[in-house]
Amino acid sequence: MSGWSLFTKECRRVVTGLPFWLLVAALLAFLSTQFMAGLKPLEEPQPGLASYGASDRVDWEKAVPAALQSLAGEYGENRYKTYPFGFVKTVRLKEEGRERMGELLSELTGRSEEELAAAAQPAGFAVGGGERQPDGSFAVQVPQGEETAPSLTLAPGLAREDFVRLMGEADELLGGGSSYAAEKLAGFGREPLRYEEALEQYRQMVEEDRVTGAYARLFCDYMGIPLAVLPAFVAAALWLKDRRAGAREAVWSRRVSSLALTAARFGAVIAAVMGAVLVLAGWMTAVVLAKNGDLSGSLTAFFSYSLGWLLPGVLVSAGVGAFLTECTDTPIAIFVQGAWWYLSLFAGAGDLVGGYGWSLLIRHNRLGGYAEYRAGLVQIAANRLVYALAGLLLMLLTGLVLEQKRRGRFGGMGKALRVHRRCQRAAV
Amino acid sequence: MEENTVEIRDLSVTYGKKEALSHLDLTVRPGLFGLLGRNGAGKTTLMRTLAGLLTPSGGKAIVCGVPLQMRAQIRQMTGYLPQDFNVYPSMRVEEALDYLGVLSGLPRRVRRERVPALLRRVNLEEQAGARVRALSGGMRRRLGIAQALLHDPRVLIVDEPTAGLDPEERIRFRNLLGEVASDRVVLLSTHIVGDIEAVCENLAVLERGRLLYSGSVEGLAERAQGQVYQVSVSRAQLEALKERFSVTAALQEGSGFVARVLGDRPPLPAATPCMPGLEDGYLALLAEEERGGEGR
Amino acid sequence: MEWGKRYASIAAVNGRRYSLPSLLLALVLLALLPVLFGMAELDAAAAAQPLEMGAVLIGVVLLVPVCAPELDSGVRETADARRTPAVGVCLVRTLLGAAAAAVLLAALVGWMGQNGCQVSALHWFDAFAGALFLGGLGMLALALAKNQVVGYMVPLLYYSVSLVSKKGLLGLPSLLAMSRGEPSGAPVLAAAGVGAVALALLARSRWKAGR
Repeated sequence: MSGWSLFTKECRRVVTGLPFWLLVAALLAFLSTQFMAGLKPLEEPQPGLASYGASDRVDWEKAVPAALQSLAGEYGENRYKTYPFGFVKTVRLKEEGRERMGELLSELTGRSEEELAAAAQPAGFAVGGGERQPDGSFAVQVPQGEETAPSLTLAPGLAREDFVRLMGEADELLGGGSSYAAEKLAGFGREPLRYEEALEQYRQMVEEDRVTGAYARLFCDYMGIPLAVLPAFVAAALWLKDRRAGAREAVWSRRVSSLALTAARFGAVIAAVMGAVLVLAGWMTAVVLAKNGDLSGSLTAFFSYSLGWLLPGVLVSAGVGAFLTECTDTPIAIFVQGAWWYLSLFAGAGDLVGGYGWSLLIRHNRLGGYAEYRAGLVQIAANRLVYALAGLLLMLLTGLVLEQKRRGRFGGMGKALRVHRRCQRAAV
Repeated sequence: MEENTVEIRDLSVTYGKKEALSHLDLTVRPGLFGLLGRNGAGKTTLMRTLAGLLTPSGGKAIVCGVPLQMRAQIRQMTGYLPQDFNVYPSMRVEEALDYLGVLSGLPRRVRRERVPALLRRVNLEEQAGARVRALSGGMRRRLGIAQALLHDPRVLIVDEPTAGLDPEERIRFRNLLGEVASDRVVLLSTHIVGDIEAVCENLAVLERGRLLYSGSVEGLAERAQGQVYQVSVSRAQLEALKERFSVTAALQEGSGFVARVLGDRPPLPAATPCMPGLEDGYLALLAEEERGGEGR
Repeated sequence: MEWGKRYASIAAVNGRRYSLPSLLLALVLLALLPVLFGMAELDAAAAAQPLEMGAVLIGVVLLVPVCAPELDSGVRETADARRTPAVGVCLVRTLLGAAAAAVLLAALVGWMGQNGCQVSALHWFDAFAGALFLGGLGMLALALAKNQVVGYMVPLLYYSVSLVSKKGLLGLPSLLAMSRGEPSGAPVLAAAGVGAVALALLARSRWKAGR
């Protein structure tokens, strides 16, 4: 049987299986509830509006007191909200920790503990109600009708670097993930976006992103979530189909090489999954262009982003599914990939835009964000390349394991043969 | 009605629109009874129905005086070795047998006695501690017969037990079946004629869900009386013969072949008539059926 | 053999062979929770988070594989030909799984209480109901599709979509109700879970020999 025939037969096995269609259903569910639900056309900002959103520029004159106030307030109640994995974790410090936090605050503000207690705000002066805003900032809300206490300022003589350092210590004391970490402090004082900046962002989305590019990144952000785990299920299901001894022997005794067989199967999973993704990408291209009818957009952005951004995740997820199933003949791959996905999802939730890093899930949960994207492009490319290569490596390893099993090692047919021979010798 | 008998009356079993068994009438008495037929004839369907795994769509069957509807009792009285036999692969042989004994409601005392005895009987004593997945095909079949005998059933139903076994294993299996058939009904389903010829006195032939024949092995063989010939031929002649007659065997002899041919007249002037065997009778019956005749 | 002794023996064998590996996996999952979630000094709503977002998944681990050993047609045919009905064996495994879930969740909630969390019996019931629901859903998927991967996929999809949805799915209360400060949907989820398990056992009883 030629390679192409083998590949097409494996494709048929994938698309006639229920796991594949459950994956498609999941993609549709995420698409409709997350991406399409909030889909709006691009609007050119008009001059003279009250707000254009938050910029990335930091007004330290605002950020420093706001950060100090927030820390003092949480210190007063001994309840600190941190987000080590995206979901809010409430930390309460023990006696030793409390004391140290008090010392840090005193050093930061130049006030004594008693003065800090007086300056501490009651509950209700929450930082964004415990939730980060989509653009990464925290809204500092003051309940109406209540007087604010005198705001805390930096101790005289303390430089901004010291402020950042001491806040960093506070963050470490809380176990990390708080808003007081160096990279998060800016969230306390984001300057509002100016009209010219908002206009520039709009121009970038229309001219650099060519409209669809801006939406495509958001599409990939949402689609990346199910696609980082479900291909493992599809691969595991396909590999498990041959588990029965009779079926395996029939396949293993064939002339086809282990690598060719593995590559055909792996390729079938990737082709089927990415086929579904590209169909959705095409559909969303049409929807986005229709919504932005007066603008001229790129027809290929959704496709190229899907291939560059989503395909590596699919490769590595399917690779884990194939490799672990081939090694163990059990569905353990589901749990392993599920655990990896779960941890990546929660770890990455703290950085919904711009925190590209080396995570399995790279997030860009914002329409546009061209500047952040360009700034992080090298990291994104490196990340995706590593995962793509990892996926292909897993495929090769799977082929290697299969070859060893066909030679009677790794508990394949060989073990049964060895037992049989041992018994025969004993009987003589 | 005798105690250990299986009475089948007008039994039909349908899978969706397909009638897998059609108005079957059959009586099976103690001893080894063969069930012969092509693939898809309905043998396995009949086996599964008598083992209490399928519900008939019509007719009835009484197993040792118990109607099929009383499933729990039927399953207690029948021991079943399926064609596709398997047990929990991660269990050890002794453990698997013991567990199946629990599922059959055998008390611990009885299991403690029977499990080792059966493993000895089927020559699996040394594999008692091995995992089921590590057993060879022959060993697995032997485990299969052991589990079927575990609760001392009155009716043993064995579906294609020797498929895939080497000649030595096959003989051993037949001998074992012969031993256990002394005081119970053993229903042996197979498409290997040699198995039935070796151990059964009586048999039935199924074809497309219907009963074509029921009676003695000699009786079926006699259906081909006067229709079996033997002749020495060259390769070219053999090919020509195959086009006009049913060649049931062709053994190489020197540069030519000795062909065994089924036909209503001598295929060649030099052909000599032979005593028909069971296979000849079976093939003659199928040929009659194809020509529109009816089996007895 | 008496009915009671028989089922006790069935429970012992299945507990050792099939429930134990699932139990170990459930323990690993619960051990991961403190890594992701704060589990000390939490108020009632915050304490519900690790339970509703993490601990409920042990239902999938413990209950989905209940009918899996007989997915192999050879094993199924051999086991089903026995006097003990197949559904009886699956019911024993289900009860073992549910009991394990109940005990593990009780231990978890108790430990959280020791660590200063404002937990109550409602937290336990809420988590158990969620686990039973997800596990029952998976059991039903496996029994209908006769496919182990599908059995795991369906509840995990339900769970994932629940994470990002503001309301419950399929007309049922949200799995994350207590985390969001809403009244727990435990009674309805528990009932739905029991219903799913019952349907799964019914579907299992219809598995035909050889198919």
